[in-house]
Amino acid sequence: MRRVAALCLWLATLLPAAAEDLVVLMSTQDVAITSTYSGARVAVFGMIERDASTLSRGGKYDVVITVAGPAASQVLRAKERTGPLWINNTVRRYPDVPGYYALLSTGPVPAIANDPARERQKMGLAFYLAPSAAPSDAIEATDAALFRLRKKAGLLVEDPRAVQMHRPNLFSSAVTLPASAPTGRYLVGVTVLASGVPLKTVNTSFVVRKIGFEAYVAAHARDNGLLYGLFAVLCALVIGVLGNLMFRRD
Amino acid sequence: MQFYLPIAEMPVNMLTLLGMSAAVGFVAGLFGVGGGFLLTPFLIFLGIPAPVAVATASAQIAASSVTGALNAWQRGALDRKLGLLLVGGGIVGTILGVLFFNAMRRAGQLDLIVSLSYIVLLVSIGTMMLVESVNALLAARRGGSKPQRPAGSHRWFEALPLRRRFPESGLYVSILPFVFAGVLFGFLGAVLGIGGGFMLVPALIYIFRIPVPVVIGTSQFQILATMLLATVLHSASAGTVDIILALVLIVGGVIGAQMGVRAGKSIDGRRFRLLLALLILAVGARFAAEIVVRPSEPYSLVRAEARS
Repeated sequence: MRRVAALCLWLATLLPAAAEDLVVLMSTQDVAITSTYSGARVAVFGMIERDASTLSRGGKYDVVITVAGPAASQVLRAKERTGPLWINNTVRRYPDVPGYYALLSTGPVPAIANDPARERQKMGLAFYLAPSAAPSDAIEATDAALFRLRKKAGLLVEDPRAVQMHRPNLFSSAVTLPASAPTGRYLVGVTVLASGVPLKTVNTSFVVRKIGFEAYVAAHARDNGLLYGLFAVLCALVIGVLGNLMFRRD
Repeated sequence: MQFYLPIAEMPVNMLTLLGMSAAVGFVAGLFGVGGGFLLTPFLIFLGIPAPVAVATASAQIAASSVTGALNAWQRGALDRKLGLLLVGGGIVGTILGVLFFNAMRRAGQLDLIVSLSYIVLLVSIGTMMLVESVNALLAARRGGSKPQRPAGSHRWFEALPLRRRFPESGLYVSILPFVFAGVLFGFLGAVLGIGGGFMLVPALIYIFRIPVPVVIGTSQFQILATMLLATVLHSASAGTVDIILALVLIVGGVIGAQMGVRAGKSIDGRRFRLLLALLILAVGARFAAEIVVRPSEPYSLVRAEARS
């Protein structure tokens, strides 16, 4: 018996120092787009669990939450002066950029997460941009434009105060989605760190989707464009005739 | 009251939309035009993507012209032969217009094309209306009557080959100009989301000398056919018809148009035409400002087309 106990103790010391466990809960895993949809908030709660074998740490915990929406190829255009007119020119294509990205944390991310952690969890939209062969001023300008446009549309959120620690081991945050956020699966990564070192990461996700009538309409417009068009035309004709009859009576 | 549009993929205020479509319908009813030349720009200004605005407005225009076209057909207040020629050309023009529309969208120049076309159209029509209504107002003040257009002799295009008799209009002219007009207005309608009545009616009266009693009916017949086709083609090729948006626009348009027709019987048309001219010029200026003034944000970001 004693031997077994000793073995267990020895094994325990072999386990990584990060014996903290992390429990993450979200207010919903299914954001439904209905006829009154005007954006959504998804609350994220987390508890950091320690057990007896956990190393005692002097400092406090830091938390970084990343939310990456469905990726799509994006085209950045710039209006350029052509004669008297400002005309759109394609400046750069960004393959596979998340349609929505949020970086929520308990403090400035470079200060609370070391480089390997930031790279592994892609803490920052910049990690999704294909690295260019030769960084130049022009590329920097387009990247800056991408970030600016996304932020303005609410599709890029970087908030170093968005995660609140309510207790040393209890935190919460909220993901704010604008109405224009794309439909699809959103990957949520929650990482607990101490002194810049990641201790535990939990990956989860939620889905934004059209439901009911909205989903039905969108699916038909996409898949049966011809039928959908004929139906739209029929509706237009019927309502046009009926409406005129109705309002002419009085 | 916010409402989410499933195809435009954005929330809009239902009351704003209803009010706007009723206002456009009012103007349309007052002047006996479709109002697409105001409706589509307003939708674009509201932030609805141009492809969705154009495709959806076509459905509304079809709905607003159906009653007029049916009535005209029943009463015989249209030149059927002429109408069919216009529609024949209109079908070709609409198909070309939708093809052009999708090509420009893929090239990323659709917004520019739509803006440029609207500028040319609105500024020229607005200026013409402004001059005409100012002259009419001045003439009324002086007590004189508007000088009559001199009755011209035959025009060169009437003598082109393929001359046919148009008994309902009492004409014996070539069919080619009508087919050409059909193609042109079908094309413009599909690209800009307009019925084109505000151009087709004067063209039929002043250029083709069609008798006034059959002009409105014939024009509405052509508009109905081309807008129906444009709606179906836009939907089939790009899925850009937002049926919810269309329903709101149709309902608002019908209500507004009825009020406009009633109001038209009791107000001074010349003064109102002056206001309409100024409104059209203002919409044109708004488009112009967007492509002539240095943009505060030159960059824009769009999702690459999934289907090509």
